[in-house]
Amino acid sequence: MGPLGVGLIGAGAASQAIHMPSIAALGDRLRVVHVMDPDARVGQEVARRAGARYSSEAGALIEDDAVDVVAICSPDWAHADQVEAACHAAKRAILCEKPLAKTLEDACRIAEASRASNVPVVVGAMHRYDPALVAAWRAWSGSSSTNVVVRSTIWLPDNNEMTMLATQQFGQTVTPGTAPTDLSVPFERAAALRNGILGLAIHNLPLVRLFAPEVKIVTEARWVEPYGYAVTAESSSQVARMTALMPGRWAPSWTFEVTDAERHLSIRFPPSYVLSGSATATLTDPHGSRTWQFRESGYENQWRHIADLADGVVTPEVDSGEAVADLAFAIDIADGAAQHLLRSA
Amino acid sequence: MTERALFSVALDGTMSPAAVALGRQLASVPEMFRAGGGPSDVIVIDGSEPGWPRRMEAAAGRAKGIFLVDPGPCSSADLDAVDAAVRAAGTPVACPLHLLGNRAWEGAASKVYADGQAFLHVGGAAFRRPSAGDANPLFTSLVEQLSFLYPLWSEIPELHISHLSESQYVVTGVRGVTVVGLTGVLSNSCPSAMSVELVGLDERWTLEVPDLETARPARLDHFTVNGTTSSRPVFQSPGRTAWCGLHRAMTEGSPVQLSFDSLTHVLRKAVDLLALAAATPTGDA
Repeated sequence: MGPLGVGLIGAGAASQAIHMPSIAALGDRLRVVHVMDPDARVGQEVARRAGARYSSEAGALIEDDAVDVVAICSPDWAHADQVEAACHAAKRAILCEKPLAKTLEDACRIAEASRASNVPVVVGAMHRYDPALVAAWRAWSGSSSTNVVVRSTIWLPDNNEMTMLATQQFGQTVTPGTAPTDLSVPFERAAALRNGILGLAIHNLPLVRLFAPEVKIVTEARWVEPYGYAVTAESSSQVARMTALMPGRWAPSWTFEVTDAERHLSIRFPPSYVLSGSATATLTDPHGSRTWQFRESGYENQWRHIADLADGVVTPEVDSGEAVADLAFAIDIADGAAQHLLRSA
Repeated sequence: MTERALFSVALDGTMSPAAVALGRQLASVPEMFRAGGGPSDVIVIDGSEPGWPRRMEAAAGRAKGIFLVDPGPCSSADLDAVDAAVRAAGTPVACPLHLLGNRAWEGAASKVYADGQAFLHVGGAAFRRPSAGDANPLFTSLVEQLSFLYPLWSEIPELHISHLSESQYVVTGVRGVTVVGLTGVLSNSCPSAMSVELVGLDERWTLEVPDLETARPARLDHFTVNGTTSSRPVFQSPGRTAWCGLHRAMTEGSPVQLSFDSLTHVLRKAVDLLALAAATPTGDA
């Protein structure tokens, strides 16, 4: 039996820089066979590079029998319809880029379609699949945790810097923060903050929920120009502070730290787009430290998991119910931050 | 060889928890300071003991120098009185500050202060291991962090408590275009440590002090478009740095890391922040 056929819906930076190289790394199990993009110039070129068919409509890709696994890398608003269609077509697995949806209603539609069709849906939350995070979480979750403090800090250069290092991208990447918006208008600023959380903080929010599931009240929310945020969310015994800024003209830094009464976990993630191995995770307690680092990146580990799911040899590490709960958590934080910012305007 | 001025040092009160650390620090500057041995030139004030401002006020008139350790919360009136006494006596006061007073930071500080307005994020975390002798660990962490902020703008920006519990705080605020966020945590996980980050679009700095009690060197990194520059490690404890600073102040009239006037300003802010927060319930409890 040959490799599973993968269809890419959306041929932008994520498909070109992340998914195609990750799939190529698992060439004995996965192969891109179909590329869809409404921009024919981009879609045809990306399809040509992969030796795959090109379509301008998602329906044609989903109906293609050669496509076993659908990777949905389209705009967020299109995710629910496309996942539903892929489930109805009885595909063997689906990767849906983050955020899973922009509304909880759409996320629930996705979960229901997955449940009814028994087609696993994996959210493209690569940090959740990073082997170092997985190992550290296994060690952390072995004992109870009290008084948890989470710090998520993301300092990134222009996205183009990373995509150019990962691939010869065809077409342009739009860097967040470069679109003209009148941020002096409170509503616009709040919308920018909400989008920033669902666009960038979304990478780490499933991890925040993993380590500090009780945080829900937003007590600080600021938008930082040109593209960044500072958000604090708390419960009585847990707090998470999330900060980000881009595009800077310095080296990237992506850290996620968790501290409780007895332990400190520090994770340094590589920047997005590049396949530079796993994060480096160090767990320290009064007895000493343990560090995890692996050759495989979160992207590659996630695709390996999707191949396993499609072959029916594993159950989902994060099932669709958890994925919806992750999104609900993220939307709560994003909405709470936007409301907090509007109240303080 | 130039003969160095040697000053005698006396501890005010018992200072039992800090005495070992102080003894080690003094042993590292034997040609500058010596414990005991006649009338005291320098008095060490244990700020974790209630009433420290009164004792320090009394010491100001009779000592040539004061070494203030971990000043705890006190009233504004007490701070006014001790500030006036210190000012009138002209007594140099050194207070070990692990971020601001770190040797790694010394070389970078003037450049950073000049660029202070350009940063979009300034923040950091203070991790403190609870110990029996640490009377006000979260307050002490906040004082350290506010002391670091003070020279950036020659004032402390308007800050608020975004989260407070018995073992954690998050203090946030804005100063111009700069978002400020300070986190404090009590945890047994690792040695007491602190870090701070200053982030602009053209450059960012990180200062990490991995252990407040030893001479394990801080790491200072400067990130720019040309790459990253790390400072040379300096294996000197912040306590020894503070003693050396006090000696220079006593012999050469050099300014200490943070003037006592500025420190009292920081202490007032820390008291205000924590008192304000205590009156405001947080979280979902």
